[in-house]
This record gives sequence, C-alpha cells and structure tokens, in this order.
Amino acid sequence: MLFGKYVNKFYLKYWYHFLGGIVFLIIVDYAQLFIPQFIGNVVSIFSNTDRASDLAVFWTSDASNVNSYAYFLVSLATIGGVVFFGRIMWRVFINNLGVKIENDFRTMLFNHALELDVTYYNNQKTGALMSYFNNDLEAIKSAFTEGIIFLIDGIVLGTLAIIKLFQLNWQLALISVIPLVLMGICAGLIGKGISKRYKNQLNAFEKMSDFSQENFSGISVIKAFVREGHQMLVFAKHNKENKDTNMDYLKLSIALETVIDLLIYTVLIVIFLGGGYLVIYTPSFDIGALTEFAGYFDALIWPMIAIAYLINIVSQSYAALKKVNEFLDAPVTLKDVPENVSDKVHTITGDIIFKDFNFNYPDGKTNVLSDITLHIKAGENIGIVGKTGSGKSTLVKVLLKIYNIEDGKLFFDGKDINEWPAKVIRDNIGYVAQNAFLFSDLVENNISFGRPNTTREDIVSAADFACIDGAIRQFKDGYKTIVGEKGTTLSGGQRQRIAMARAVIKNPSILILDDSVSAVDSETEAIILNHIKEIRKDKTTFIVSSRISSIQNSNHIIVMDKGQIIGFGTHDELMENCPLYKILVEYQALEAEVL
Amino acid sequence: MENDFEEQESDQIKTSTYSILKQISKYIEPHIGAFALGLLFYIVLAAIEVALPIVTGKIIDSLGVPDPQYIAIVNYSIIFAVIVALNGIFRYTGSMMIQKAAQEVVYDLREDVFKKIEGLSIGQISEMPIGKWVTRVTNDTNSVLSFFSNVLVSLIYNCLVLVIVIVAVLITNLQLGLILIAFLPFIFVISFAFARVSRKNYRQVRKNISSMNGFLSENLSAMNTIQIFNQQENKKIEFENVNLKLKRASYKAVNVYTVFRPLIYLLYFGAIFAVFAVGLKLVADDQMTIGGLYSFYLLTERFFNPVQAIANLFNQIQSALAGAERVLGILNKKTTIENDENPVDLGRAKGKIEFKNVWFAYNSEQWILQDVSFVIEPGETVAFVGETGAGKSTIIALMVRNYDIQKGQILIDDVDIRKISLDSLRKNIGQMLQDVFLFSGTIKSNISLDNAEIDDETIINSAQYVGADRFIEKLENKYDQEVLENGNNFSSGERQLISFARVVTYKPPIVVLDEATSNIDTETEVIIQNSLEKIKSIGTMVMVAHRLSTIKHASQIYVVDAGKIIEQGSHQTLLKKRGIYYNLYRIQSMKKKIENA
Repeated sequence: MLFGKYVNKFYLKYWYHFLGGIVFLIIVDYAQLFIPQFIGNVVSIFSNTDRASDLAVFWTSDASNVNSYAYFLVSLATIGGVVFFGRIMWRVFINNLGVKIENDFRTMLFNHALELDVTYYNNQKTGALMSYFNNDLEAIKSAFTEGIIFLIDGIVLGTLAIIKLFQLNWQLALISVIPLVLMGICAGLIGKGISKRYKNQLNAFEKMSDFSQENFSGISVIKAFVREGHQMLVFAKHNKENKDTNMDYLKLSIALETVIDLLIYTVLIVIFLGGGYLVIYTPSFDIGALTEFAGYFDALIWPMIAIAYLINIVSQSYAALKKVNEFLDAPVTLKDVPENVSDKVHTITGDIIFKDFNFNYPDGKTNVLSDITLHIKAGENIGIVGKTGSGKSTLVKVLLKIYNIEDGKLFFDGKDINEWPAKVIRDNIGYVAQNAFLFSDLVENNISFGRPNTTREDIVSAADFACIDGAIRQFKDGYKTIVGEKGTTLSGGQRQRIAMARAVIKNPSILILDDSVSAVDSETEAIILNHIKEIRKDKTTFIVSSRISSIQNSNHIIVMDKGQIIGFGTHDELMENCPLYKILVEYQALEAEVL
Repeated sequence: MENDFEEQESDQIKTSTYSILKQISKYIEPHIGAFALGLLFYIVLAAIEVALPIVTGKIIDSLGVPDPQYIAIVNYSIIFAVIVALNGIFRYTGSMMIQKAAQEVVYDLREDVFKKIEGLSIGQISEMPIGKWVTRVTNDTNSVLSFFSNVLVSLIYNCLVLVIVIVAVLITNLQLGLILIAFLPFIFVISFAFARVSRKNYRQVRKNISSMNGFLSENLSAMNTIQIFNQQENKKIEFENVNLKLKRASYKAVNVYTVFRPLIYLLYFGAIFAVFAVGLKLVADDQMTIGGLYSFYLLTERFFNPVQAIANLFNQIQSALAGAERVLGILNKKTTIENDENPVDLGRAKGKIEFKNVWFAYNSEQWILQDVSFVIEPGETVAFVGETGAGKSTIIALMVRNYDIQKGQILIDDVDIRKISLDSLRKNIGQMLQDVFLFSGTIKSNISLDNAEIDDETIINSAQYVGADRFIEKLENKYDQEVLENGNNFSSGERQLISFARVVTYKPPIVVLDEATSNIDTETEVIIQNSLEKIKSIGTMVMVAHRLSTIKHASQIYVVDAGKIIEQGSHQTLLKKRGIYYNLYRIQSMKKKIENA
C-alpha cells in the first residue's frame, strides 16, 4: 500500500485487483483458523479418559453430527479446498496487479523521459535514470504486492488469532500474546539495526567495487609508479571491511532469528505449563482446547513477522517513490507553442534571420555566441568555418529549437522561432552531427528513422546521396545489416554518411552538416558536395567544417571566432578581407602538399 | 556501477564440477575444522527439529491418562526447554562458525583474484572491459561465498532433516509413516518441475529486462536525436512493445507461483487429511496414542519444507559453480610479463637506453616496430615525432615492459630489461602518460599516489617545481581539494601538470613523456613548457611530442614512420634535410599561426 500523486490512480484503475486480492486474502485467513479447532475437537474426543461414549458417536456414519468422524473429514476437506482455491485467487489478483502496475509505471516514466529536453539530459547520467526504471520501480511494486499481503495477513490473521486465543482462555492468552507482541516490537527494532548493518555491508561492497573499478582503470599509472603493492594493501583493507561488515550483519541477523525462535518456543513452554495446569485443574479446558490454543498461537507468529516486514517495505518504497517523483516532476524547460492545423501543411522555406543574437548554454556563464546578425535566404548554400570552440557548431544547433531563445532574435520565414512549434521546425530541418548516434538497428531503419514507412527506393536514393549505398550493399546483409553499438562496427566515415542519409531522406528545407564529413575521404566528399549542389539547389544547406575544401564553393561563407562572425562572403571575398580565412586556406594547401 | 545492467552472464559450466571443487578446496582447507564442526552442529539441529514435535506429543499423552500428574508436564517442559536451549546454542554457534569460515574463504579467494589481476600485464588487462574484471573480483567471488555459506550447508541440513523425519515417522508408526512417505515422490516431482520451469521463466524475464535496459540506455542517451527527428511517438510505441514483452514474461513467471504454492499446500493438506483419516482409526485401535498422532501432524510440516528447499538449492548450485569457474579462469591465467628467475636490481640507473634491432607486434600479423635501433646517452633529451599510429607511443610502452618484444633487445644501462626486475625497471623510469588518469581522492593523494613516505613538503615542492602550484593555490582547499572520479573536475592541462608532479616527486633517472594531443590554453601551455625545461635536467628524457614547443627541448629528434625510424638528428639538421620532419614542422608552425590568429 503506497500513496502519492503518481500512484493513487492505480487504485481506481485496478480496483477489482485490490478488492479481489483483499477479499480472498481475508477468506483464506479466516478459513485456515478453523483447522486448530477441528483438530482440537478430535484430540479432545480421543483424549477423554472415558471416551467410549464419545467414540461411539464419533464412528457413526451420520455426517451431520459435529462430533463425528465423517463430519471431521468433510469439514477438514472443505477448509482445505477453500484455502487452496483462495490462495490461488489472491495470487491471481495480487501478482498480476504487481505486473500491471510495474508495466504502467514504466510506460509513464518513459513517456516523461521523451518529453524532457536536452538541458535535462546534459546534467544526468544515463545510469542514474535507468535505476528509476529498475530498482526504484521494483521497490514501488513490492508495496503493492508483498505490501498488501503482509498488511492483510498482519492485521486480519493477527486479530482473528488473538480473538480466538482470548476466547479460549484469556489468562493464558494474555501470557502468550504479550511476549509475541513484544517480539514483534523487538524484531522491528532489531530489524532496524539489521537493515542499518545491511546498508553498511552494501556500502562496503560498493566501495570495494568502486576501488577495483578505479584501480583497473588506472592500472597503467599504478604499474608505471610501481604501486601494485600499495593497491593490494588498500584492496585488502576494503576486502576486510567488506568481510567485517558482512559478519556484523550476519551476527545480528542470526542472533535475531535465534532469539525469535527461542522466544516462540519459550511461549510454547509457557502454554504447556499453563495449559497443562488448566487441563488438570479446570474441567472446562481440556487437552483439545490446549492443542487448539497451540494451533492459534502458531498461526499468530506469521502476522507478527509480516508486520515487521511491512514496515520495512513501506519505508523502502516511499524512498523510491520520492526519487521517482522528482524525476516525474522535472519540468520541461523548453518553451513551445502548440501545433495547429495550418502548421502541418506549412513548410518552412529556409529563410533565416539572426538579429543581434546572443547565446549561452543553460549552465554556462559566458556567451558562446554574441552579436550575431545574419540573413540567410532560402536556397542558399552556407559554409561555416572557424577554430575549435569558435561557436560554429552552436550557430547551427540553435536552429533546432532545443534551447530557449529570446524573443525577437531568430526568425524562420520572418516568423519568430518562439512562434513556431518545435515539431514543425525540426520536421523541416535535417541535422547531421559530427558524432551522430546510430541505433542498434538495421541500416535501413536507421536511414528511414525520421520517415518510418518510406519506400526502399527512397532509402536507397538517400543512401546514394550520401555515397554510402555501395558500402551498404557490400555488408553481409546489405540494408538489413544491424549497426550501432551491438551491431557491425562501422568506420567513422560510414557512420557519418549513414547519418547523412538519415537526414536527407526527409528532403528537408534546411540541411545542416555539423562537421559531419570530417571522417569521409576527400574524393567522396567532393561527390557529396556535388549532390548537395545539384539535388538541393533550391534548398538551404549549412556546412560546418574545419576543412576549407568542404565549403569554399558555398554561396556564402561565415568565418567564426570567439563566438562572433569575423567574416562573411564568398571564398574570393574572404581571401581578400579575412586574415584568419586566408591562413586556414594556406594551411590546407600545405597539408595537401605534404601529407 | 557500470555492469549493473549488463546482460546476465551465462550459467553454462564448461569445467567439470569436480575440478572446480578440487581447486576451490585449497581455500577451504585452512577452515576445514570450522566447516566440519559447524556441520556437526547442524546434524544435532536436524535431530532437534524432530525431537520437538515428539515431546509435544508426549505432553499431550501425559495429560490424557486417567490421573494426570502436573509433575509430568513440568518434566516434559524441562526437556522441551533444554532442547530449545540447545537448539538456540547450536543454531547460533553453528551458523556463525560456517558463515565466518565461508567469509574467510572468500576473503582469501578475493584477495588472490585481485592480486592475480593486478599482476597481469597491461595488454592482458585491456583484453576485457574493466567492468568484467570488477565483476570477477566482486560478484563472482560472492557467488562462491553463497555456495559455501548457504547452498552447501542448507543442502546437507535439509537432506539430514528429511532423512531423520522419515526415520522418525516410520518408528512412530510404520503404517502411517508409509502413507506419509507415499507423498514424497509427488512433492519431489512437483518441486523439481516447478524449480525448472521457474528458472526458465525467470531467465526469460531477465532476458527481457536486459533488452529493456538495452533499449533504455540507448534511447535515453540518444534523446537528442529522437527529439530532433520528432520520433517521440514512434519511440513510445517501440517502448510499449519492449515493455509488453517484459510484461508477458513476468505474467508467466509470477503465475507459475500462483499455481505452484497452493498446489504444494494442497498436497500438504492432503497429507494431513490422510494422517488424520487413517491415524484416528489407529488411535481407536490403540495402535498409537493421540499424542503420537498429534506429533505426526506436527512432523508432516517438517517433511514438506526440506524437499522444497532442496529443489530450490539445485538452481543455486548452477550459478554458484558458474561464478567459481569464472574466478578460477582468472586464477589459472598465466601472466605474460614476469620477472626473470634471477632479476637484477639496477639500484639508481645512470639512464642509458638502447634499442637493438627491436621488432614488435601486438598480435602476430602486424609489425608495429620494425628493426628499430637507437642509443640514448644518460642525461640526453630526445623526442620521437611522427604521425598517429607510427609507433611512437609503443616505443615508450616497450621501455617499461608493458609488452615484451618479439625480436631484438632493449637495454637500460647495458642490461637487457627482461633481466631487470620489473619494480627496479619501472622505479627508474618516471612516466608522464598521454591520458592522465586521476584517482578519486585529493590533489595530494594524486601526486604522492598515497605513498606514505612522501611528506607534504615534498608534494608541495614537486608541484612548485612543475608550476602546478599556480592553479592548486587557487583551489578552495588547495592540496586537499577533492578530485572526483576520473579527475573530471580538472582541465586536461591541469591534469598533465599533476602527472608531471607525480614523476618529479621521485626524481627518477629516466623520464618519459607521452604528450597529449588535446588542446591546452596558452597560459597552461607556457607553464608546461617551462616545467619540461626543468624536468629534462633531472636525467635522461624521452618524449613523444606533438607540439613544436615541446620538440624544441630535444637535442636529438627521431622521426618514426610506419614502425621505422626514418630520420634522425637535431632540429636544425633535420630542417636542412627538407624531409618529413621539415614538413611536419611547417604544419605545426601553421597550426600555431592559426591558434594565435
């Protein structure tokens, strides 16, 4: 049982699971408490010193007589059947409830993950995000499975057993229930100590693990400075710490188990002594009552333990829920406008205006771009060059509407970027990053990524555009080859070209190659540039590059330095008036000469 | 931890169980006494398990006589109490003894695994991802632990309990005992079948979890790409599918339990039913007492538990053995770089380095170095230049014996390095590596590498010597500033300076530098060059250099191309040659010009 804004809806959605599970748990709890009574009854018939008359009744074939053999067997079988059926039923309800909630919750988490923007992901480790989907979700789920079972068993079975004990003999009940309740409290308290020691143990294990991890990662330094001996000593310390914390934990948990055992048996002895006394000296309490009493007492042990577990489960799942809530509450920082019908048909032509544009990344302090004023007309081919860190890549990334931009600074087709829905802008831009990410999927699916359901011809022609069709056909499975992390290893140039095909298949009004032919050889590059010139002659294309050859034939070339535009013009113009551009050209000429 | 989401390693065992156990037994020998005594205690415990129901039956019987004596109850209660006390003592001491012994075994095993890996050569360690080495040290040894602390003991204990219970019920009443035993095959078959099915189902669940995690880790890191291509909706559907598969597998796995546990209950209940149905008649015929029947009833439960436990344990044996096998795989590895039988200790070397017709390949096909020869005199500073992949860094790796060469000889002070003890060799060569690795800790601990013999003064002096004090003094906690994992909170220039300081602390007669190619801001660059000027006075200095400013420190320059030295001489002579060095020089000058433009 767990409450919170993201979990409460499950009570409504799966009310029948909760209801069914709880009802059947209660039925089982109720039914199984009849067993001590039946057995007690038989024992009392058989242990009666002058049992002849009772036995005569017992062996009659009249099943309706409460004290008959037939009645005993029929009722025992009935209870067995009910408990069997009930146990199946509550499992059907509760176990499947757990699976459903886990599944729903996971979908909810992933859908939220899809909403969050770049800014969020830049500050998060994937590993930390993944733990929401695994450990934390597991903890939340257990509140709805074990949590419910332990709660019902603890309360219902516990209460019923206590009532029955008191009905039989309140004095005996008092002296046996009190130690048991104390035991529950004890177990709860010691359990806290145990879970603290368990946490210490986990910490020690993690430390040892982290140390090994770092040690093996830095093994070259360790060997270089002959520190192996020292590392072994430190490891021995961690290893010992791990062993010691483990023993600490075991000591206490074994002690607790032993003490609980001792306590239960001690109470049992008390029951024998007290019960035996009652059997001998009070006529109303016979041996049957004693065994019945022992049976109820036995039934009371589990609920006490269940409540101790329950406390643990609830506190763990609340901790997990708190973490997950923080994730689900993380706001989408990108300001966007909703799409409307007219946008869907509208295609951006590729006319872009920057007006006194400044930009810094959300966590950065200084401007990465400053005082950018530019007008790029639809259909132009723009080259962007500059040194590492000059802001050339940022200049094209801001077009993607993945960062918030001030109003009145950036326009597509004369309309402010903030008035365009992100979806429309991104639909109209094909972006190829330098280290483009390919999915562990078929080549063809990677190419058609932005346009699922396209035809084979479109895929091939996009691959053709990026000069990768030939290479793909030489793969073992052609377009059906799996690439990405778990697939065929591709060269940097192949990756870049597949990523390019993925962008051009959209036939976007704006194509951005963000230093994305750096690993492609110069001959292939020339062919690709030619394709851009011919096939994309009416469309806007940005080519960011550190190679002059990639951009020298562009309509306009932007030279960036320290976040500013220090040159804008054609190749010839820049050779005249931009010293940095000139040096870059010379450098490239030299490289071509000597390498 | 990075391997948290790794796919579960296969539990298939290739080595024979016997040979695994034989090798592991070496670790048990020192603790064999504790294990034996612990097991003995468990035998007593198993007997106690059976004694308690029987005493309970006796108490009932003593109450059922015509003139019950309270003293009999007291006596039995005392017996019961003694058994309970023994149970407590044996249980606690027995488990503690075995747990402690098992912990010691794993401590030793883990220690050996770590030492073994630590002693492997760099080449061997790079053969497997770091995460897997860590798993060998931590999780795989843990599964060996669970084998000794839990699996083995439980198995023996439960078998004992089962045997003793069988004997006890047969002695109490043969007929009723046989009825109970008739249930045994059913419990066994159902339990084992369930354990099998459940193992299979959970493997399926784990497989689905790992494919879900694969999907998540890929897509969470590719979120930018997904959003730029507007593919959120499709990814939603893809995830639904992955999630659905997991859901189906989970349904299957949990619903096996839904049937199994109640089924076992039904069997148990059937047994109780049979015990009473038949037992009552036996009691009526005076073939047994009602107390005897009651103890039979109590024993029935103790009859069912061990069988189920045994079935579950068989599952765990598999994965424990698989873990043990992987650990042994490491322990049985042969170290490729080892000390000579009678290794030479150089003491403090003079610093002469000689390569004599050295041939080297990482793998047999491709020669990385071909017939490389040169002599570096003590105190000399030389630079190796050339393109990426030419083999420059390899020369340095070979000098410190990270790898052994196939042909030729490498000599330090005219002694073959294979004759020199590894410690002595590496202590004489201070390495400033390309990829500076910083350990989590402090600046101090990173300079001294936790060497207690290096005092704070030496550390500060070293930092001042290389000019690292300039940035360290600006830090909030100065030399005690925390260094995060992988040194992520320091720039590459700062990291290099720290690595310089590390070497300077020891003032070794030979210093090697594998220069990083990454860009460094101009200010740090100046500091680095100044400190290199100083460091070269310590002794012999060998540099793999990229920057002109670095190369200029060298009196002798070797140009390496495709594993061969193709040009050598001073900066001026090489420039006059107008060969490869001349071209490299021009490129470097131009790069400098662009940087400064």
